[in-house]
Amino acid sequence: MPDSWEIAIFIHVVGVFGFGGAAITELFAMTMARRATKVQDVRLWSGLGVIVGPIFPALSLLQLLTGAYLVDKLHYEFSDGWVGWSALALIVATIIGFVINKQRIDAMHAAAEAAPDGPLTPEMAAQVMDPILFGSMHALTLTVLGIMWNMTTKPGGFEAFWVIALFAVIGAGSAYPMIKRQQEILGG
Amino acid sequence: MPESAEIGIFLHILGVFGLGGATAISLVVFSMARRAQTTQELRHWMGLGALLGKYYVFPAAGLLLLLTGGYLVDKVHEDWGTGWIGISALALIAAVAVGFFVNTPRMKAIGMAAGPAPDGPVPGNITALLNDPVLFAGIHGATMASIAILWNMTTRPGGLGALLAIVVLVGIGVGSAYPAYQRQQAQA
Repeated sequence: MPDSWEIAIFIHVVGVFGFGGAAITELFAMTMARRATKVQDVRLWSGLGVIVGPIFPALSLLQLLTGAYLVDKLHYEFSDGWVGWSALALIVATIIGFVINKQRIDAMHAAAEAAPDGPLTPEMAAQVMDPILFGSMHALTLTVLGIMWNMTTKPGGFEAFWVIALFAVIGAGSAYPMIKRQQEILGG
Repeated sequence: MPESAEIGIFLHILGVFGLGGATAISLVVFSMARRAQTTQELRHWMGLGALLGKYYVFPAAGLLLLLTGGYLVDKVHEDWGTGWIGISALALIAAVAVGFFVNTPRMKAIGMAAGPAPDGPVPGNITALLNDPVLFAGIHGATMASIAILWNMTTRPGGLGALLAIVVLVGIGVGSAYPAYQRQQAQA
């Protein structure tokens, strides 16, 4: 029979598998929404985003609980840089995901549901091309990769912090070209 | 600086993240395609699914996992003859092969049929393709094989335990197609 900590690692890694599923599905859904030319297409893809949204907090809780169990069982400390920074980053990422991503995707879907079938209005195109949503989604996905780097290489606190910060900044920075595009859309 | 084995583990876990993403997309596409009311809707879902095949996402993730896994076997002095390693590697190759030779051609056939079909309700010939129990079993079986491999990688059972985990979980995945099979038989 496997030890209890091995089962915890299994659940923790299933959580990574789930995070991959949720993050990549959300990225695909929003990528397809940005390519949409009709309201009904945005309705479909934002609907998928709405379904995926609540999965993130559930997965974060799963990762934190199994992670905390492993910290205790394998005699690590939350004050170990790679543990503490990664746990904090996961909590912050979950909050940002809820406050920024979920609200904006829900609003996009509600607007698409309310709008009649047909071509996108400039307002809806701007909502779909929202650079804050784009930057936040990329930053959070890369933050998860930063956490995975910390979990597998177990660096000191300084490096653990900078890895997460660097990954998050690269993700957020990827929205820069979109800021220009949104301004062009709104400018007509 | 992290050791090369740690970077190998990071890439291996990155492969798990990617495989989770691809698995989620394939499950979402298959599930939503079966629920599609119109061919327009179906075309959208099949367009998303086609991206997985176009970019060889599953074979690429499988290759990344096998290459990094092979490197780790060598680096941390494990042995391919160890049950949980050898059987899991074989299961991964088999799952990718099932995806490539069973699932992908069937999904492509649905996409090809949906393309020229007239707008409106999904025609009966496409519904029959969507309700194909072999496709259902192939997708669910491959997904459960991934979970079984995660179990083997984290709990490291002996050869018999590793084989049992894969047989039981794949059996559950394939067995989930039984109601679809019965429905097909009843209609035939």
